[in-house]
Amino acid sequence: MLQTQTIAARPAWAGIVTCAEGGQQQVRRTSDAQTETTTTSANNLSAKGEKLRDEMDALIDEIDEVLEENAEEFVKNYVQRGGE
Amino acid sequence: MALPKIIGSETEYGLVVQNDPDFDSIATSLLLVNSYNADQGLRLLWDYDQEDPLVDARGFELDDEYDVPDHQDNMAINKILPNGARFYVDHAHPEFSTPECSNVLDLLRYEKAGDRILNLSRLGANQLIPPGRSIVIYKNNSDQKGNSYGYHENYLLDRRTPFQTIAERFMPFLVSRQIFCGAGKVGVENGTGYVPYQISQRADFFETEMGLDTMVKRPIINTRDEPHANRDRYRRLHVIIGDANMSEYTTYLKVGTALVVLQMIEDAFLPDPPALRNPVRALRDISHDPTCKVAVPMKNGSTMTAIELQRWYHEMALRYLAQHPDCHPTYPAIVQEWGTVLERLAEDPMQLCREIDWVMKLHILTNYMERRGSGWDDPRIAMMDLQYHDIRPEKGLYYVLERSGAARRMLVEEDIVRSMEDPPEDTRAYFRGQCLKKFKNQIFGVNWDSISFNIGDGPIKRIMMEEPTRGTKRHVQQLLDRSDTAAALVANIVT
Repeated sequence: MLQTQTIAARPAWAGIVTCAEGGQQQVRRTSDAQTETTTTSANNLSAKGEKLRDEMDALIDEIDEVLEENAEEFVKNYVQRGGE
Repeated sequence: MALPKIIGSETEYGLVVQNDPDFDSIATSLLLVNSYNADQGLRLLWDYDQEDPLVDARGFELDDEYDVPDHQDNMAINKILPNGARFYVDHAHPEFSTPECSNVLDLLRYEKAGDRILNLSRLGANQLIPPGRSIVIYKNNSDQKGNSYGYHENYLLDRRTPFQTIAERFMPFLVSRQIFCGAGKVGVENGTGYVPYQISQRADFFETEMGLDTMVKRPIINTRDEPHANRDRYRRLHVIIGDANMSEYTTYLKVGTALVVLQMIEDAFLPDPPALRNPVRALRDISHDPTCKVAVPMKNGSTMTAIELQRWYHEMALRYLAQHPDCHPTYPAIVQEWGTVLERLAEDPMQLCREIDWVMKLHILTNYMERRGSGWDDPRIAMMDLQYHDIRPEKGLYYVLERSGAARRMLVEEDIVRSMEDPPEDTRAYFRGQCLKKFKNQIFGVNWDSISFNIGDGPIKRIMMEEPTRGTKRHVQQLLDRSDTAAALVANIVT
């Protein structure tokens, strides 16, 4: 029985990082290994991060637009019998 | 050197009719299958005569009853398409079987063609049901209520390889490959311990290691022995454990790696793999850990992670490639992608958020929860788990990702469109598809390994096609070109 009350998301596993952040962390690790980190590359990183965040925002908005209304009812009614 | 690897897949689709809570799934499946705008004038039978689903590869036959539909029903539930595929009703689901393919990229494009065909059928069928209602179709394996429906892969193998050898050497691969081909799933099924998200749609439904059944007590290794080909030469390995995938890259890797592993087994190249202490348990434990770090017990007392198990197979594949430069030309790229994916999984699985279905799905779910301040019990999360697999390009969440360039592609549009119309040129599907196009109403019945013609005078003429590597364009084009009628074709074959 699905509950209507939502609980704030808390990642259940250590190490699950969103793709964008994971990518950023990777890039940061590489830059730390370098002897110099220029201001330009730091700006590029945060600009890239912002872009990724904006893209994800747009994606999530689009998902909300196409997502079936009355999700709880829809999911409750979805039953499949007789499958291999 | 082993025989050519012919492959095919069968996808059972999930089905619902919106605003019709009492919908009849068998009737709706029938309607769908009869709504595809191929040649609906074709009245031909699926030839059940040569089907043996109760024969077991371990060397016996189940003494049970197997229902064969009568002719009227047969024609309603079975459509054989001019691209060599079969579109039919299986129990309560619409099902699509690809034609026989000679390589993984062909298989991928025919699977995608199947999704398009299902969608077109849906559009056609929706015209015929009461207004306000709408058929929705999902390419997934779980209804979140304890029921599962399958995606089956079929691999043609040399009969001389003992079944037990295949089972033992393939088992650990099958248990662990889900880390790069699971379709992802919210929650758990079948009484297993709760996790909010798991890697595989199918894992919770598997209860035994080996067996004949496909619907209850599902086995990791299915022993069905129904080659649909020359029994003395061939075995068809029927793999029921895979998830249906939306991502092209995921399908490519899933089937491509399986092909390479089976090739190595058949060539007696693969030694005994590390043996799992409890494969069914391992299957679930691996699925229930999206960090891919869980180590499962091995027979020798050690533990291994799924990545380590896959690395063992991958290492063997690298050696195989080095020693077999004449292997199938698709193998090097498959093995390369396999290696890269394993590296990235080991670093952080979420790096694969453009490539692997379960990661792509998890990625949008966690970002959704973060932005909307919700959690795993939000009904919209369960809805997204389902709608990821909606086959409508304008509604399916996978297709939202694809449209925004967030999904790695293997195909171009042209590949998919032509696969809806034309059969592969390099397997017996070519002969089947071209006969269907050319001789239409003179065809009486079809099966994977035969085609029967009604040439008017005398009995039905059945042509056996027991060799999946023949009946190709190269073999039969001239014969087809000089045969204007089915009668002429039969005469030309016989002489």
